[in-house]
Amino acid sequence: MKALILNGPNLNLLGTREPDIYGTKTLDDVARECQAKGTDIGVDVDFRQSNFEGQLVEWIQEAADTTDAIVINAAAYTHTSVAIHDALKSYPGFKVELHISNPHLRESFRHVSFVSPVVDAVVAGLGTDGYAHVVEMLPELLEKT
Amino acid sequence: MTLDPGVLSNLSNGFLPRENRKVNLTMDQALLILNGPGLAEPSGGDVTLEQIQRESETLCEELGMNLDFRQTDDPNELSRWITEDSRRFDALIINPADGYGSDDEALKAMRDLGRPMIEVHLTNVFQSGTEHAKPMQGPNGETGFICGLGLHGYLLGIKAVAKRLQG
Repeated sequence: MKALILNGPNLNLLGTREPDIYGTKTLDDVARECQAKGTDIGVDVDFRQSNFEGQLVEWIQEAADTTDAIVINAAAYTHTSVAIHDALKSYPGFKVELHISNPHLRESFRHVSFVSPVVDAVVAGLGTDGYAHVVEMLPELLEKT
Repeated sequence: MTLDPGVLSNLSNGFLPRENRKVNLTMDQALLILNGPGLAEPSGGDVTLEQIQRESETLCEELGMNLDFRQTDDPNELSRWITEDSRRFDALIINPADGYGSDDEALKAMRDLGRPMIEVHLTNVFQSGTEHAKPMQGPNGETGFICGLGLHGYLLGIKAVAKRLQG
């Protein structure tokens, strides 16, 4: 089983940017946790980050033929990107939208998500632990669908 | 200006400084799971409330947490459970179904409680095409939100709560 975990803009700064909101772990720490968890349970985790909307769109498109699931933290593009919405809509595998914080408890411009309507599930506000928790669930979730 | 560490820990967001939090490793943590109106026979997904309860209990047992699992069709009772009963628990997972949104007292009580809280829905509530009520406001930064994972949403919530409480 192969899963692509995608991270959007500014998440490369995780651990240094607004640590009171996002925590002190770096994105590399999170990637290592996900890959370790994946190894334990037979999920091949491909963990990526880009600050570029088009790059994220291309990765989603390419993943259609090569992966079983996408976990996407589109970060700020969540609230703006019709292109990511469209790309995800075409992706045939299992899709989870993930956020470290709960966007609905933050500024009103984060209350709209272009991602939520085109994914199977939304997981938010569980901190950086949310990533590994979702990876751990993937085998059961994919078995179900 | 220097701040007392206690003040800092009060100011900081929930999922951050675990080291600033009191963790009790000797006693079982207690978790309250509340299910709102209509969930006695869930329409979303192919799962019964009994299955959800059974699997939640099994997982809590594995993780060393005591679980109180409840459902009500009465929004006032749900509100009472939130405002009164949840104070005796270390964490709350709630599937409010349609039983909230207007009860400011209950939501305020949750905020004041300052404990991990996760809102769970069986289905992706954003897919329905209708405007979903704004998710509940829990204690600052503490409120998790999970939807669309069916039964697994509860299990994910339990694991997240256990990690938060036990480190």
